Amino acid sequence: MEINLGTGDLAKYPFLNEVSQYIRDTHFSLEEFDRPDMTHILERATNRIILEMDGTVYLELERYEVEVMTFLVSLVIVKNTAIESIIKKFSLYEAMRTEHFLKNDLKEYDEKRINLLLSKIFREIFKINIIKDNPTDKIFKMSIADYLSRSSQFHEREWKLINRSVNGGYVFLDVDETVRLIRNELSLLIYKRIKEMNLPVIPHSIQEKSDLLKTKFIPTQTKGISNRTINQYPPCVARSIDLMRKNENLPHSARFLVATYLLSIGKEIEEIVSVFKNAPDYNEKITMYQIEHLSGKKGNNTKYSVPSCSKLRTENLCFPDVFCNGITNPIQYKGKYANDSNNQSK
Amino acid sequence: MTNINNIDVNDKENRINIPSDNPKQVKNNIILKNGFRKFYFKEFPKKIIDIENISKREFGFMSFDNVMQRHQSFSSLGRLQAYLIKEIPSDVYCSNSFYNFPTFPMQDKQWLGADLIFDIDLKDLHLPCDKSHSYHICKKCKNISSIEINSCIMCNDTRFSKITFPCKICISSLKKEVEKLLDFLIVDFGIDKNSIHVFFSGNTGFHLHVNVQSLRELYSQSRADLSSYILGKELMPEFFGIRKQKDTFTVKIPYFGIDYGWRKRTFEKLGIDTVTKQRMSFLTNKLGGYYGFRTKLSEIGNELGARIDPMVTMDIHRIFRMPYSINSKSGLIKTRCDNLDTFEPFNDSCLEDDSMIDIMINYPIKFRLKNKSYNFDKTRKNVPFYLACYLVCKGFADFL
Ligand SMILES: [Zn+2]
Ligand SMILES: [Zn+2]
Repeated sequence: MEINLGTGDLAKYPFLNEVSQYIRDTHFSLEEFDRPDMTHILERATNRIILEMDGTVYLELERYEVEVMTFLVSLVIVKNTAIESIIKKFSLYEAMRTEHFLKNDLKEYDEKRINLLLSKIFREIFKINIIKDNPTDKIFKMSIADYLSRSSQFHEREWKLINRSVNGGYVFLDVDETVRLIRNELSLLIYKRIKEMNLPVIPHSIQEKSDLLKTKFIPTQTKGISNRTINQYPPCVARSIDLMRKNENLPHSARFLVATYLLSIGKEIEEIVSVFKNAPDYNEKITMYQIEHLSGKKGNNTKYSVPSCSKLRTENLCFPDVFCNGITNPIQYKGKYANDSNNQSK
Repeated sequence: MTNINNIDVNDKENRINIPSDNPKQVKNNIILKNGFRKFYFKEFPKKIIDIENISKREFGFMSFDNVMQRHQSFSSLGRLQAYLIKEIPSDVYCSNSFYNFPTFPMQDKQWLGADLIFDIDLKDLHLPCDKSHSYHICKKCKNISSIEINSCIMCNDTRFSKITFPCKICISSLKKEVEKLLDFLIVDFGIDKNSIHVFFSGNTGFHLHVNVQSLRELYSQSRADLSSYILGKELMPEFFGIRKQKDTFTVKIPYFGIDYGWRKRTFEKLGIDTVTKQRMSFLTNKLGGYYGFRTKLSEIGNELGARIDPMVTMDIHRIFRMPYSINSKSGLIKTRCDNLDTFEPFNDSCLEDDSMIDIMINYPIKFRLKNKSYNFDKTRKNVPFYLACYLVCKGFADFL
């Protein structure tokens, strides 16, 4: 007998295919959002996005019909702003919301429902085969290859394979670790959903909300460092800054490179912090603290140096150009404008 | 991303770089090439069975004039063999990666995956016996010195190749590392024994090739992580439940995974059979707290890890010495060893050719080859070709 997810589960995981089917079946049209009885859902959705833009994971949960509609209209509002930083940040926080429910459910559900979640979310959507290791403990296992291809985006030592329980080709994880491992994929799933959505004519009520978000969360231009200046940086650094400006969520190693490099060429901490502003998980206080730490002004007084070219190569961050020939550290990069100043002084 | 240097780096640096207009070397090369041709014609097809997905791999060849040619590809083993017989390279390399377009420049090849490879080499073992059987050959004039010197006493050149004649201790130490590596691969990573192929590199190490589909897709970063696991690097006290707290530490026993992997290895090494909070707390205090425990972990990791070269494993654009090809640094064949215990590199990887030939020994040398011990003075000798080939490739003799 096939067991299906109940509506309670679908409310928590509105990105599942079953939900899309439900919405199609109701023949729901966006124009209905102009009706006064939809105000509640519209307000909920807007509130959810605003909270998430401010850096809080939205954890409220109502009955299925409300939840599904709120999710749907959130996607529409966000998409309709057409602002990349809003779309990316929303996707990340929605992923963290899912993580929250998934952690609880995997801890509290019985064997059958746990297996159902594992198959519906992990296997069907993300193609990872996660196996509950034994009936009594909440321990899960996945193949080493599945683990490594996800864990390598984390740079904390605890995610290194050697600090994991490994046996017979499997990595053993508890619930929190298992769920954390798919955050990026969840976020990407929601991001793609938004990107692939075709917007029909947008009803007035939704347009209003998108406009509100646009004025409230318009991305701040990166101040201080001009494009020309960035083009003088080594290609590895320039590329990372460029990606960050496009709201990409960079791995820790790339952020480390950018921060240590900018410090090494004498940039002010405030100026460096502003470079990180467009990162989806940007938090001014934390970024400021981290950069001060790297500069040696906080913590144990060690000044961190710029990683070597060979280290960067191993982290897949090296994208050399002809001016990289013969250098072993990005700080030795002279670049294409190297001779400009000489010419001028002559 | 394109790095022309990622062929077996040690291989390249250690080649004796004799100018090819040196008349002795010209003669050596002619005779060696003849012998290599015979090998690729007669012996090679008997040894090599298959190169999986050969048409998707990149090949590279070092010529006897020290010119490296990469980005070659072959549609079949037969065509590769024909090329080897015609061109007679000194060394043959083959990518562990598969590409859509193996002959294109690196950035256009379209990477499809790569076998997992491992290199265990004497240079990484730092054995005390090394000095007693290592020599330094001047790259310019081939003059040999048994001690490390700054410049050649004959020609003043400062570039040397280190040549070593591995002893029994060397070989058994290498085998021990291979066994450790096999344990990680089979027990921890769950890899089927039959998918792991162990080779003697032909000179001073062992190569392991692992052909498992799910691992072929791993990128460089993941391979680096696998390497650290095998090397025993970066074990954290937290993994064993020891957490730093201000000036002291807390203990929380891990609730799963104590009886396998690095936890098991470590607890065994620490002499702990039943892991309890009291026991761990006592031990950590004895070792000097959190940092003392951490130091102990790095010692244990260092001792129990297998000494692989991580750069080889994580590089997914490398060309690696091809199985069953001749290693021109030794004149021996990169040979598969199915039974590590009984495998004897200096018996089992020699060329077959035993026709007698004259050579001049350049430097007094003691060595073992094909079950026989030799003790040669600086003199003229009539020896079987496989032996002549070994000494000439090592730089200790010239053909007459
Ligand atoms: Zn010399
Ligand atoms: Zn030795």
